Amino acid sequence: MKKIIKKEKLRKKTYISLLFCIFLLAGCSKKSSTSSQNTGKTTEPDRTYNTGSGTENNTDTAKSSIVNDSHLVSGMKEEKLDLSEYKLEYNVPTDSQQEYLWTSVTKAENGYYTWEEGRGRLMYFDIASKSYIPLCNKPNCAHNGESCNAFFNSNGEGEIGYIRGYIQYYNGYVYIAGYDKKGYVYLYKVSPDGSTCEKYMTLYKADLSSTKAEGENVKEFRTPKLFIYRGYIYFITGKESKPKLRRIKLGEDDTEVVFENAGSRPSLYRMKAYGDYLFFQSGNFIDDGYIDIDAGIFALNINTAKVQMVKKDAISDYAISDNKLYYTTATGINCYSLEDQKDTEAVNTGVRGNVAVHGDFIYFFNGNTCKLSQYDSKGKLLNEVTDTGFGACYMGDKDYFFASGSGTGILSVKDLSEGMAKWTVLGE
Amino acid sequence: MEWKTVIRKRFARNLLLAVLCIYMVSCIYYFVENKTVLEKDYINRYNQNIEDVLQQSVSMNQISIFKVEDGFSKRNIEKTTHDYKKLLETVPVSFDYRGFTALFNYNFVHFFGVICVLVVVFALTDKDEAGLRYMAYAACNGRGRRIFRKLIALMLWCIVLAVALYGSLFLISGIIYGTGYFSALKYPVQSVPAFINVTYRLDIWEFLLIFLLCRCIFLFIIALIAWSVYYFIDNIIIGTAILAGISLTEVLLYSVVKVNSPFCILKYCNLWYQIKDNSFFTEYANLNIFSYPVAKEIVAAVVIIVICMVLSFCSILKAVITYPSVSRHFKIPFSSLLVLLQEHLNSMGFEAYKLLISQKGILLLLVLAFIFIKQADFTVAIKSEIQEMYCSFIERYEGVPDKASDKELEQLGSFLDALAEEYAQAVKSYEAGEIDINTYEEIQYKCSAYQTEQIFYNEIMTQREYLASLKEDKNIDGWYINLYCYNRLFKNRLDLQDFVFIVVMLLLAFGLFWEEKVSKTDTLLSLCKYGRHELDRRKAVLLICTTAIMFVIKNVLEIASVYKFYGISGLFAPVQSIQRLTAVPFSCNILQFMVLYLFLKMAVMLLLVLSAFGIVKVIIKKTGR
Repeated sequence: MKKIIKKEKLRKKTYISLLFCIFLLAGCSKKSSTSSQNTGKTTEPDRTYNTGSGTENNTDTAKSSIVNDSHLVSGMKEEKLDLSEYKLEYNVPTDSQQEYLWTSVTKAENGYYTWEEGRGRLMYFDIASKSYIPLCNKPNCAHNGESCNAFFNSNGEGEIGYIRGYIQYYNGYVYIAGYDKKGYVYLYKVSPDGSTCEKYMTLYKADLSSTKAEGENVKEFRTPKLFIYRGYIYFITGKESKPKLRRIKLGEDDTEVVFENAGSRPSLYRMKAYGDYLFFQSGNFIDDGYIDIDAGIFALNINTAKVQMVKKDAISDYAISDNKLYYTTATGINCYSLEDQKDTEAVNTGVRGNVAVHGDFIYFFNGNTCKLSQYDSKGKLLNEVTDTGFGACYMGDKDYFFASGSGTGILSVKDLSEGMAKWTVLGE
Repeated sequence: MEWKTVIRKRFARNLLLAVLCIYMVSCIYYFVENKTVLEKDYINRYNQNIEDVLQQSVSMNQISIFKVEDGFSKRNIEKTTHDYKKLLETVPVSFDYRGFTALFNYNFVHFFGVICVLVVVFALTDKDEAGLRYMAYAACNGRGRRIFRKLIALMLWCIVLAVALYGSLFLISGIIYGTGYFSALKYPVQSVPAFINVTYRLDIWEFLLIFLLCRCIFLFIIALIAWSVYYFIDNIIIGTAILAGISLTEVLLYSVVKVNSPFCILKYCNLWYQIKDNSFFTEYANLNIFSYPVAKEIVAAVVIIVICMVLSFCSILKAVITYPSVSRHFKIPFSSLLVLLQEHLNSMGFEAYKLLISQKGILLLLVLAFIFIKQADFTVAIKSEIQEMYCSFIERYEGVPDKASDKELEQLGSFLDALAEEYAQAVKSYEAGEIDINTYEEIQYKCSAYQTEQIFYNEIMTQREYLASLKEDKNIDGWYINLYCYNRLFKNRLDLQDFVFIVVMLLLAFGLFWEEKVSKTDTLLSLCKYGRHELDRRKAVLLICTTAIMFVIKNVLEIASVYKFYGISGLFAPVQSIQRLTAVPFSCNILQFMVLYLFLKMAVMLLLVLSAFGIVKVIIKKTGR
């Protein structure tokens, strides 16, 4: 009798444990992969990819989000931006100076953070004291080894390869990016004094495998274009056959594809954000010569995720100021009003180049002659400076311009306006 | 008299002596072979170093990001300035410090110390005195006090070993470099270049005493952790695995954690950092503790004291409260279920029960399975354009190269050759001034735009040429197959995962005999009809089955992850189509080779574990225990 009771108890325990396991497994469910950007509107993802630990969605399947062979840039119409509800205003904590995007320089409140050319250290240029120092708060540090806070080595076995072309100051922290040998790309958050550096989030995984034997000639990592803006990180990965503009909310996992160019010979480049819009350029090369490109400037409304074509036939650098789009052409700089869609020539430079607009001044850099020119709003040349030692100008803000040459070069806008400007290497 | 246990146990005593002898020999050899040299103008460098630090402090105080009130940087600069200013009063003395430099450069002494304390821990651990524990528990002073005495014995042995090792090192360096340096003990420690950044005003003899004390403490903490693991876990296999895991974790933390990580305390308060060399004593570093700079020595001391106190307290408490039991059963609510299970097991099943449940081998296997799952990366990576091009080509032309594929490659090749020629011509023309910069740049853009195609062409032509040579040399019709996939499947080196797999299986092999040893039934079993060869055969079969199952799990996960990303096709291609496998001397397809390859890998694995099994069996037979 006792044996029977004992067996009965044992059977009950067995059933309870089995049921518990079933409930445990039944409770697990995959996180919902659909995300809605439009209030009150459900979006059905076109395609679902898996990147990192999250999922990747197309947020908007409307035609304007995707360029393909049946829907090329040349066939699109320029659309007027809604500037009544959504503005192009600059918000200091969340917005970066556009001119430094994709470069090794970023502006902070009292100075600039840069990647040092050649040595791979994080540096800080203090405006007040004009000091250019490694980002290390240890007075006893020689700043030449791994014990230095500013020292970010790269490409060692098992180490992180830091992307020297990206640095951004956002919301009180400095952000840099790096990748490991498996191809995972990470975003790192550095405190303003360099005392802490932590891995903030995983962006995506790039396939680094090679057709050669493992361990030999691992494929070169294609540097992505990254940009943090108002709570999201936007990125264009290294060369894809169908380049996509993706974004992830900071600190989260899910990736959204906000734009894709699926046409032949595609190109996607030059992100710049102003106010509630993220502008970028995309197009398709016309022929196998890859010289002539049919590209335009698009605008992504960061609140609604709607993409609009703003200006056709704008393939080179551009800037936005006071609701006007300034873009360079083969002959100069045009000014396109975003309010009334009127296009006028602002400056006649004769060549393409880089453009920046600050206040009443238009700045133009000619990469062939290494000449930086300052114009007024009417297109009159005011000042210019030439130095062939600095071939790539990062353009600048209202105070300083930076350039790449024998080191990181700096030029004061005040000196330029007074006609006394000269490029000097930081740290000299 | 717990400390005498080490001396009483012959094996431990002999092993200690052997280690010490090896240490002496290696020490003398090192000093003879590695002669240190004196640095010229060290005194000037020392003074310059202090000036540089103070000057840098002043200039850093002008920088906005370091001037933040209540910020760590400001406080750190102030503290560093204060510490280095103290050294202005210290005047280093010029003398022959080569002996001291050699002494502190010999880092193997720390590892010898660790080996010695592990031997002591092994001797002091209650492994197999099952019945003795009950008697000890019932006896007066057999609980907390007994454990307390063990801890004291541990500490005493650490002191003895530290004095023996470092004392002999000091003496040997003195003998080799001249005993004159004994008179230099009263000089400031900063007189030795290795200690240029020591900010305490100490003489050399004071510093050596503190150094010895710290080394005793480091050895003690290692000994305490090792002993506590075996004491709490009460299972030698799991305990060893946990210790191995702790060691690996410490090394990884030191290597991976950056100096400015929020977790940098794990880098400096780290056993590996303390034993790998003498950086702990020569490096100046302040840790960020709630925005206050605290010297790393103080943080390490606090952490060590806390760990010592916690572990000691917990061990004594366990001894006082817990009734000793040989924990061969899982203490889970369903132990009656296990009893029922035991009643229905056959001999093979019971061997499995002993290994997996009693010896907790199931935990090891679960950890191993977890590692396999983590390593099998199912994340879909974003393919580059080149990879997409390559995969697309292989998809279309998978198989023996035919005219269509050759034609496509020929067209692409011709186009790229024409482009290269155009570029070369453009370079010449530009240099000769025949074309302007714009035209030259256009051609450059065009070439760079086709860089993807160029890289793809190089890759596919390498494969094509290889297949052509394969046909010519060995008369084998190789196929175009996706090498991304197969290079991953047929790896040519071992990685950490394989190493962990081998170690876990070896631990399990060892654990097969442990149950009988612990319960002292091995002698009884050997008297039974099936207690010798038959029992050993069943153990071997169990080991083979466990190894095989884990091997299958590992490889299934790996194949699944490769399949998810690349797909697996071309399985019927000749195996020599993969360049890495060109030396395979027989003809078979990839599928057949894969089966053979996996089979061989498993065979090697089984050979390894069965060898370990055999060795353990022989040792048990020889020792008769």
